[in-house]
Amino acid sequence: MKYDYTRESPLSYTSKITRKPRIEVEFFGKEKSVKVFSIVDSGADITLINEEIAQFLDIDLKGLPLFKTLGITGNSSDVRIGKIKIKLPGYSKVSEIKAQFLIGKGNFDVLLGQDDFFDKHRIKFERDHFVFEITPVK
Amino acid sequence: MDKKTTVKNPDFSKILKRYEDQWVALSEKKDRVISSGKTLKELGATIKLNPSAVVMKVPSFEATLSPFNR
Repeated sequence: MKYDYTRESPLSYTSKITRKPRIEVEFFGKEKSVKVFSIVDSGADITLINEEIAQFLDIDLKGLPLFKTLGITGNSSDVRIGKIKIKLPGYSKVSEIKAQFLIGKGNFDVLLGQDDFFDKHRIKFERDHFVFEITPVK
Repeated sequence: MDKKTTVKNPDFSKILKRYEDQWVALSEKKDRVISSGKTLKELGATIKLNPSAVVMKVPSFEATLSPFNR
């Protein structure tokens, strides 16, 4: 299925509209789910989820392995690595992907990354006309 | 939903202008904000009443988003 890049407010240094490849993904806990307008991020090694989403879904992160995520400046933050069930709009199949949950405050919602969201979907970015395509393949 | 259809979005530069750095719950068509708050937890009641709502954290307009960094 193809999706429009979003049109979002310009950053303060420019008047140009910000465009992002966002897709409405439903994330599942044991008894609850929530739809998050997530960013498809080919630069993220693995899907990164804001801890607030795990808390909202009553996902217990304490038993999950602790790891670190490294930013471009070399600063690291703690994450817990686990799995989460997701469903894409227009598809009935629920699949499971690996994800890291950021421990602490984060100024983002969800970044859908390479391991293993990109493994399980054929993704084509067509930024020149602000369209991207995602097709489940596994 | 037709798999060949391109899913269109409304113009968020207008809809989300007032909600910088906040969590928002959008209507099913994502054309209006039905609730907002500093935390996702604050939107819990709205999401329960509107299970088709879509949430997002509106980013800051004062900084670019790069691979995670703080």
